[in-house]
Amino acid sequence: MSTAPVIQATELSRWYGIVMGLNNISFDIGPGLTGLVGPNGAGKSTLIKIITGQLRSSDGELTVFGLRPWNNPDVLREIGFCPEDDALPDHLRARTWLRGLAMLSGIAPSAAPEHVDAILDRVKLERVHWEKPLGQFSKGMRQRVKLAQALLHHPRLLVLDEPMNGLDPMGRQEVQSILKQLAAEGTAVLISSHILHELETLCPEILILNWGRVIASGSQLALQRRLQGVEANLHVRCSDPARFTRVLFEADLLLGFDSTDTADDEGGLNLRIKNPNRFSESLVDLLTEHDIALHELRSRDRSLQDIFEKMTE
Amino acid sequence: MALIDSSYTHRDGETRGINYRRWVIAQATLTACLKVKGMRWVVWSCWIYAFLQGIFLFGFGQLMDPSSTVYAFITENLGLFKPIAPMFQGWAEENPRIAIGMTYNLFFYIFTGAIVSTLTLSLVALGMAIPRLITSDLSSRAITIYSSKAVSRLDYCLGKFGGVMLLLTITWLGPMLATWLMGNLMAPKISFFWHTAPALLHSSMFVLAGMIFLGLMALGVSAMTSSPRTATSIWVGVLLLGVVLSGIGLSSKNEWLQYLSFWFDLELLQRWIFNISGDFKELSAEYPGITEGDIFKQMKLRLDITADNVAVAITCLSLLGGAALLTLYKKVKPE
Repeated sequence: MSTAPVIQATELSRWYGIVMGLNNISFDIGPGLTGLVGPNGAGKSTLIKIITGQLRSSDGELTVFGLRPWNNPDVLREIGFCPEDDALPDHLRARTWLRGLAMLSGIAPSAAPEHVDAILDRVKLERVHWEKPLGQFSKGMRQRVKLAQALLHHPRLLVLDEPMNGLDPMGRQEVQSILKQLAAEGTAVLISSHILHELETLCPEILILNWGRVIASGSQLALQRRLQGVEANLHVRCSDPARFTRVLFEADLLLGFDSTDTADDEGGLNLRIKNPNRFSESLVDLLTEHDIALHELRSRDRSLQDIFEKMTE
Repeated sequence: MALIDSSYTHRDGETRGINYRRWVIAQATLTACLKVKGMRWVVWSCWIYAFLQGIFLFGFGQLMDPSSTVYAFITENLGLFKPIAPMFQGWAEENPRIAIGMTYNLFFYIFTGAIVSTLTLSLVALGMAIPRLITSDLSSRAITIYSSKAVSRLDYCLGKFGGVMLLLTITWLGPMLATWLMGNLMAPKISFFWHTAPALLHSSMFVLAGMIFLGLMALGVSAMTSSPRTATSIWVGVLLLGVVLSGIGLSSKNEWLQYLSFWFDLELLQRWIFNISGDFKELSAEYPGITEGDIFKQMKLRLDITADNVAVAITCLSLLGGAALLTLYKKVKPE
């Protein structure tokens, strides 16, 4: 699989009058699943609109597959977009609307019905609903139709804005599995979502935005490692918790702690470590010197939520 | 360097070009318009109206042929027409350019722009269709999805414009062509076609110009708002404003006020294309007595038109069309 960037932004900015939507950001997004994370007003929607060719950048450059997407049908035919908005015409039937969109994507009228049926099956919209007007659809069914329209032309880049909204847990799982399958087939998938734990399990790569700037980008693992250069939350179990905390304080490594010493977690401690790198280097010496036996040591900084909170602090 | 391989289609099967996609938008627009409640009645009315005009013109054509059944029926059964039919036939033999060509030109002049005409019905059809043109895409926000597909804003607008043109073809151009064809059916001589051809040419020119202008106006109004009711109200308002401005301008003899009315501008354009005053001049040269009456004098005065009048009317129509295009440019976007 090619590892060339699918989306590449260089000093990209977008203003809305005097308000800055995106502020001089640069990043690369490669193939596979990438999560786009950020609080409200971070610039996620602006970035998505620029990627999907619906908005022009004010400064800098963003390319998708090496070309600018603004008003460029050559790029747009490589992109499938599932917007957050409830963007369906209520008076049309699901199958009729999708057939029209398939033809709008250049599929011949004779091939369109078969193509639409296959996509509707893929997004697992039950057949009984295919001929119903979209206005009668539940939120979850509408999400599936939106996903179907994005997949109609077999795009190489799929951009999804809050695709899990309105889906029940089973629906979310189904959509996740579709997205994973698409990524495995070689489609680059960019997902914007505020449900961080879903992105955590779905997207190995993350792009975090805040106040129109890129706070962090890369793999979740790499981000985790970067954070550890500042501080780390650890859970330990040792033979003498009180002594161990005192030793760490004296070594200027501890920011805080609380004891979890119970019958189930004998000798347990949650630690906030000041300098994780120095902690790693000196841990063995400290334990040996003070004759403390270490039974367990694990990081508590695992969730994307932690990364997000720390990055946006 | 661009990383896109232009031959890459992601699926088996051909991918059709941009003109096909524009055609898809046009077709979908027409289908959506025809599904509006009552639209089929309007379309049927246009064709029935055309059919009735066609019957009249067919009868007129048959008057030129003494061997036709219609001619025989009129001369034998309609006492009043008994002397008129042979007189008319003789006139057509003697001066077909005036007897046939001018009559057709006047007929099509009156019926392509009259108050009761397929133009009026087409305006009603447009009023009914406006919420389904762009307004519905804005209100449902489906425009976000359309604009993410491989069609540019221009392609989308061209497709929509094509849809409006198709609708107006069904309600205005098509019936007009059908009327002309019916009038020429079983014509006594092939030369009949040549004499009626200028009327067809003038009608086609006026109807096509009107279609383009009204199509742009309808799209502009449809793009102004995401509320279907507001869009229809604006359309009705635009039509009424045209009537009111034209009326006030006429009564106050303020020509400039009249030019602000697209009705007046279209009428000037129509007069210029059909050149009825030229026909009257030709008629008075050939038959000096005919055009001496007061009615003819008033009509001639009213129908006289200068190149400046036409230039101003075309400029005003172009400005209105330009305003509609600007509205489209500003409003047809996902946000």
